[in-house]
Amino acid sequence: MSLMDKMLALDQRIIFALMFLALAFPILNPVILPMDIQQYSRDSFEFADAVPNGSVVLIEGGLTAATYPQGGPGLEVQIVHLLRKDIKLVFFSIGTESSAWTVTAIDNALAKLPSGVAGENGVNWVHMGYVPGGESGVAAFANDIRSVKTEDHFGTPIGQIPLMSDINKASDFAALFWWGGSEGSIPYGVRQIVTPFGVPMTGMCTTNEVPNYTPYISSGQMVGIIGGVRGSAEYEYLMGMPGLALGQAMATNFGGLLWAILVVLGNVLYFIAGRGGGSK
Amino acid sequence: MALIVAGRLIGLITLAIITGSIVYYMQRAYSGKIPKLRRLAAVNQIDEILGRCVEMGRPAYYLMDTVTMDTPSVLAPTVAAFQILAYTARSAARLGAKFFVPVTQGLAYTISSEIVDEAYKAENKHDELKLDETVMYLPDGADRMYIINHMWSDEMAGAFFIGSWYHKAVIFTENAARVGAMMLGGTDTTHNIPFLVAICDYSIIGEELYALGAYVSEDPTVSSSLAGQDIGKFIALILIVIGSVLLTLGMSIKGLLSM
Amino acid sequence: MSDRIVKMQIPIILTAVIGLLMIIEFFFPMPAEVTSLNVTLRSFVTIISAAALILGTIVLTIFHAKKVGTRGSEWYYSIVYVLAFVVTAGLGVLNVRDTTFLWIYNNMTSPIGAALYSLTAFYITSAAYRVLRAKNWSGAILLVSALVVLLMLIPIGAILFPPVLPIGTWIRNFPSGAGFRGMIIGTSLGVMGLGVRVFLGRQKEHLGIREEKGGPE
Repeated sequence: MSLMDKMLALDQRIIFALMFLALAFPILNPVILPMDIQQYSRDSFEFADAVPNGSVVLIEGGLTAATYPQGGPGLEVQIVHLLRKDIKLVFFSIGTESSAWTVTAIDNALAKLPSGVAGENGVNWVHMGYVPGGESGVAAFANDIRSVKTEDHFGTPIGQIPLMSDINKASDFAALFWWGGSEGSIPYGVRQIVTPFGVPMTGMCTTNEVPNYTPYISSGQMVGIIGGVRGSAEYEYLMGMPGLALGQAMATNFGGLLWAILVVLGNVLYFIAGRGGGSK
Repeated sequence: MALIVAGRLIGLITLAIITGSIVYYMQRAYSGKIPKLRRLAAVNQIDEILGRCVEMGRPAYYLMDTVTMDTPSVLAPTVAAFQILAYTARSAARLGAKFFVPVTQGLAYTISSEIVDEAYKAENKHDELKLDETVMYLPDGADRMYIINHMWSDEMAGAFFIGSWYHKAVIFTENAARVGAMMLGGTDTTHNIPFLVAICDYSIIGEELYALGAYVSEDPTVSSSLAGQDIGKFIALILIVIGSVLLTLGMSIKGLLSM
Repeated sequence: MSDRIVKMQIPIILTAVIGLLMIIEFFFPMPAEVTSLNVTLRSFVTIISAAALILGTIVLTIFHAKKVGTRGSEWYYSIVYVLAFVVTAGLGVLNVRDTTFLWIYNNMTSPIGAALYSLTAFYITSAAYRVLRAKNWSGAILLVSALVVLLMLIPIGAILFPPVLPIGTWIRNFPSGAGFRGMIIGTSLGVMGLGVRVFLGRQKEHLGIREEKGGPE
């Protein structure tokens, strides 16, 4: 096998090792490089900023262990953003694991709150917990919260939660924030809350899922989207609260550039080797 | 009290038309009027891949990725994957191909076991089946390393990636490609379709997953339902054209569609 | 009760009735009793999922216990599984909010889950190196589009190559968005067709039932 053939059929372990070095180095030795803010992230940030102070908003916490590194930092910063505007937050989740990770996000966000900003459970925020049934569960929740949930995630009866005294359906919320992670559940919010109740919405998903939701953004059913770790990093940057996501996003610079170099190299070698013709 | 929940009238009408046309075509098929349907190449590709496995004496893997059937978006492609599994298992039994079906959820594991068991019985090859080696329960998470390692150690010759595929699509397909397997991939998870199309030798995209499930049932009344789905596509086409023209003229139909 | 009724007719009837209840509730205002019934049925999903988890765990534990007992291939890994299961399940049964149990979840289960998810990055790179070759015009277009969109997505890409931002955004919003719209429409129609066939009991393969078809050719 010639050197060219060996390079074209490069052992994947070499590729893995190169990618590991490209990602590990900037994580261990953070390198902050200039960053352009994507329009989708800016739209999502401005959407949150435009929610009137003192309103009540609904947040779906859909991050799990696998997606929390990508979206968790962004969700924490958004919670701080909204609480700083005295916006009341009602959380819910459509997965059992994501319901637990939502508690983690809330706890981490409360730890970052500036002094003087209130973050009391039941007054400034409430976590209604797991809503079973997927999209049909969301539909029922949107129509009548009390028909689906009688207590919050921590077991407090809904009647004893001051924040929920005037809240019982989707139209009672000023905005919807859907942190879907990799659930693929953003369309549930669009179909069950945005379309029937007219509640404006933004969301978050993993980077590879963003193209799935561009039709909803183009049609105006969603306002922007926070895409993966870069979206979270941009939110941190816009809030002036650099954190984990920004560090990870910097690492993606090196990983992405390595990816591009390998692809270009593969094609250059392919043409030099004189392979040609035939479709896959 | 309104007859229909606000904002859902257009959806109800659309559902009624499409469902009605599907049922109509199925009824017509009962009376012998079978619509002419394009043959799905994937049906032949299943047999081609299994034939390759038999020639090489190596196993074929049937992977379904996410099978948590309590999630509606996963339930439909998983049911379609079970339908295709029934056909594939029966072909594997008929041709004598070694077959491996790892499953990551208990309920799906019992259904898959039942399907494979019935398939081998239908081909009178039940005595050749070792069910606990053919259909295996692997917890989600542990399945990745087990399947990757066994793809290499078994020198798998064929693979089917059918169902609701998420991030594992690229992991398993790339590994299978490096092992040298011939692959058929199909999912309705739109953001993973490009991975399956790019890496697999053959692919079925989105709606074809459900169409293949109907085809392999070998029941003309069932495959006739695909003609009814095409009515839905024509409706979508007409609405897209009308909507594009109206938007270009500066008229919004959002209000009409939100009735 | 005959096998046919239990294995086939009851599941089909249950599927159709419950599915129709959910659909009707979505479109028509329903009395509180129907909504309450549907809420109860949806909560059954949680219970069945939990039961499926227990079922799968029992199957797996029996499998590994047998392997240890018969010294099957790589039986030592099965010991690791059995020990891990006994310790974690035992702690969880005693008190699911116990510090040790949570420590295992937060410091072992979650990081392992995140690490396995991160395998995607490595395999995508390996796949891209092998597959993204400009063998023909369509391959070349795919290659260039992928490179442009990737450079748009990485934070420094638009700084290094400013044109990738407007071009990549156009690719994402128009050709890619149009393609995804088409796929979403097609997939939704496919799901509707599958639903009709399952509700009418015309397709039963997912129940493990295969009947010799007698429909017209």
